[in-house]
Amino acid sequence: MSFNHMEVKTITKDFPNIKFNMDTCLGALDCGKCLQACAPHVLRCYTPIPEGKTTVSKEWIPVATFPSLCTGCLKCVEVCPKKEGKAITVDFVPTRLPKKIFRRK
Amino acid sequence: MCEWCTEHGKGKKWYLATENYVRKFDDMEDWLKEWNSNYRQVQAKLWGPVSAEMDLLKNRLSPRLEKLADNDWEEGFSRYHSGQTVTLAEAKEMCDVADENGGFVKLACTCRKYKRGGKYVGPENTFCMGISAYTSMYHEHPERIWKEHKIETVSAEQAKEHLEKLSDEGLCHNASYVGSPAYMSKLCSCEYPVCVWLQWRLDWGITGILKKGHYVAELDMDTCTGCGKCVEACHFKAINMAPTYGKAILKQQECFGCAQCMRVCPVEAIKMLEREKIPALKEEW
Repeated sequence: MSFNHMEVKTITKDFPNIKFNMDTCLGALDCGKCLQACAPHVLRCYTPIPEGKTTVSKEWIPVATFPSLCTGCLKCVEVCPKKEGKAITVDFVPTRLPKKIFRRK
Repeated sequence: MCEWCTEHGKGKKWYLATENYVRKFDDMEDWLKEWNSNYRQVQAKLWGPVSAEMDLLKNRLSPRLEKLADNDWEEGFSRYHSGQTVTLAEAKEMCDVADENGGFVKLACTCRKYKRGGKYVGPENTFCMGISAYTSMYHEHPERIWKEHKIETVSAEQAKEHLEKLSDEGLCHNASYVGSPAYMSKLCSCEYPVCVWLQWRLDWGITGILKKGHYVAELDMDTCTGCGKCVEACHFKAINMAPTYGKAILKQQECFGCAQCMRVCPVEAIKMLEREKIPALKEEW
């Protein structure tokens, strides 16, 4: 496969950096309001395997699986029941992402 | 015939072959151990923070890295838990086969529980079905099911009615296996943003998670009136409205063959073709 016709150019784009503070989070199974609020379903929850163990832990942890689909509506931050020190933070960080450009010979 | 049909189908489609419904559960304890130790680890690894990295990686568009990651994912899923889109008629045929081999169990959907979305959030909405001999697992090992899950045993006729009701509400059906390839175990009713498989297949293009079905839709432009019902019904982004024609346009390359568009069309402009008979799509699953 030849890439002569294709050029890869780096662009800088605001890319969401979604982080959860698990110290203040009430748990995805008990609360889960941020998961419900997200319209494109960027967020989901899962049970991790603790280090050095083979079985799954009982706590449910929210995680952002599709940051690229995030629209930046920030509804997940709005609905978080913690008034101070929200458990979820969304920062838009300028990230360098390559973009493919096709041109005709 | 897809690869599962040729390997496990015994001349039929894999989800209609009786042998795939009758699983020997003598070694269930060992099997559960393997499931817990292997698949659960794959699950926790891939569904956790790695998936966010994967998303970035897909955006970085590095073909080599993309391929490496894809192989990991496709192996992990096609080995333990994967599926294929079926039409409503096929799902009903599956009900007939399962009636004699294991029966049905109604379950609350796990995807919707993980994502907290869709029309039917909550344990009271039981509509993903466990079928075949796998259902005995739910009765013998209740610890594997969430507390909120109600388990409801239903007859074949009830199951068919249930499927038809879900089809009317716009969900598409997927036959799936749990454990090792082609052992029938579940009949899911999915919708696009909430169902994990659809999202991964469509947004990331991981083919190991969900296979295309045995049918492809064909749209007759002359009879189409441009009402746009099929555009709403399609979960796979295969149908769009063409503004200059004022009619719908169907991309057969992206069709999964769930036949929901055919069901909602008021003028019968859409019909289903067999995938094998279309040379360009014969090998696309």
